[in-house]
Amino acid sequence: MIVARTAIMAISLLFAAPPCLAMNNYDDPRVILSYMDKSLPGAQDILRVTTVISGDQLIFQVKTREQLQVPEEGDYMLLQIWQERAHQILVPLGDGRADTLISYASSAQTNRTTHTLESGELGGSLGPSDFSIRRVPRGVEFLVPLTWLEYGQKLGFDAYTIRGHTVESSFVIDKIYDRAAKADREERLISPIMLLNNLCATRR
Amino acid sequence: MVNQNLKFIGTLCSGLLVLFLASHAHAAFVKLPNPVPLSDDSLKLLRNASPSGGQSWKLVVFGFTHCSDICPRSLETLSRLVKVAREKQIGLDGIFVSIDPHRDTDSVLERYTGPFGKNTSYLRLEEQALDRFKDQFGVEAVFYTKNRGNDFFYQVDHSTTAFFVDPTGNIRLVFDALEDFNSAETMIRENQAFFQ
Repeated sequence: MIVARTAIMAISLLFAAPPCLAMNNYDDPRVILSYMDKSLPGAQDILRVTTVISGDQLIFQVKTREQLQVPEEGDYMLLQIWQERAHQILVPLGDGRADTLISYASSAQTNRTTHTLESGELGGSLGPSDFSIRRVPRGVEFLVPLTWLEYGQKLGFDAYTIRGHTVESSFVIDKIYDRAAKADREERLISPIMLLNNLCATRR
Repeated sequence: MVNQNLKFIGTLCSGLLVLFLASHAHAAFVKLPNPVPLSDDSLKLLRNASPSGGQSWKLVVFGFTHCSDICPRSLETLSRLVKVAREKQIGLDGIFVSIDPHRDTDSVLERYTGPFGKNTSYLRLEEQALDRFKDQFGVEAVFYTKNRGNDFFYQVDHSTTAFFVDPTGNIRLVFDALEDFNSAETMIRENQAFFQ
């Protein structure tokens, strides 16, 4: 039985893999994979972040293990995008919640361009208003206009499920439930044209 | 037993999904709202490689001549689009940039690109000059099994992206040379104002 299952698995993967696939998925700048953590409620457990281009927008899709059934006040999905400074885009976690989007940006250019968010951290002051979001099954899509990309800057992104609250015009993270980030912090930053290059071509 | 089977199916589906996401993502034809300026050096290199000289648009693809399937198709796309542009009185030159200058000598590249028409040429750069040029386009190339004992029979992985560069040196359109020929052709035929 086990042999049969292994054979089915191997054959399926062989058929699924294209002939040119050679790079490690974890090196793919379009995708962040996050290990399943069953100690977390499914809606807080991020499985992956993928990027696609649609029209004039770059879309960051964050998927969780399950759909949130009973939303909790103060729980958010957070996408952090690095481009010269840190930009955090927050949306209440779970369907049925208002699609209110809050965006923050660090007030000054920072050298900590590979920084991962920690609990207790301030999100900075209110950021750009031209981001938007779209609810999808078991996740959220963050829509960023392509005009927002600065080609002279490096770009990176992480996603989080968090609990937090606003303080005046800032945001404080009380707890981080889960994070999806590249393991090697330096490798998180790439040029926007490299990301577009990867998104435009289906083969390597 | 039922649970075990469900777990197995779940694991299998997850594996397939990951592979699908990573490798079969939809190609995108992107008209950049903000053009990406190339450096003066890169523009100069393109102009020097361009059969018609400085004032033409350039359609740039990257590849290597030992690539048996993908690169000839990219070059075919490039060549056909150049012909369509010429029909529409748009000055467009195709430039094939070698990512493997070790094997792609000038004479090899000349033979390789020659059959694709007089408005298609090549650009051969080495080492840091090639790295700087690739960086401008966000192009990566990964060499497999190239080492001291095997410096000829190796494989190179690279993207199949094609780039439209305007005469002043801005990347204006990015698309997959293998998937998006029709979109690019339509763009040339129906949106000539874009190329003015």
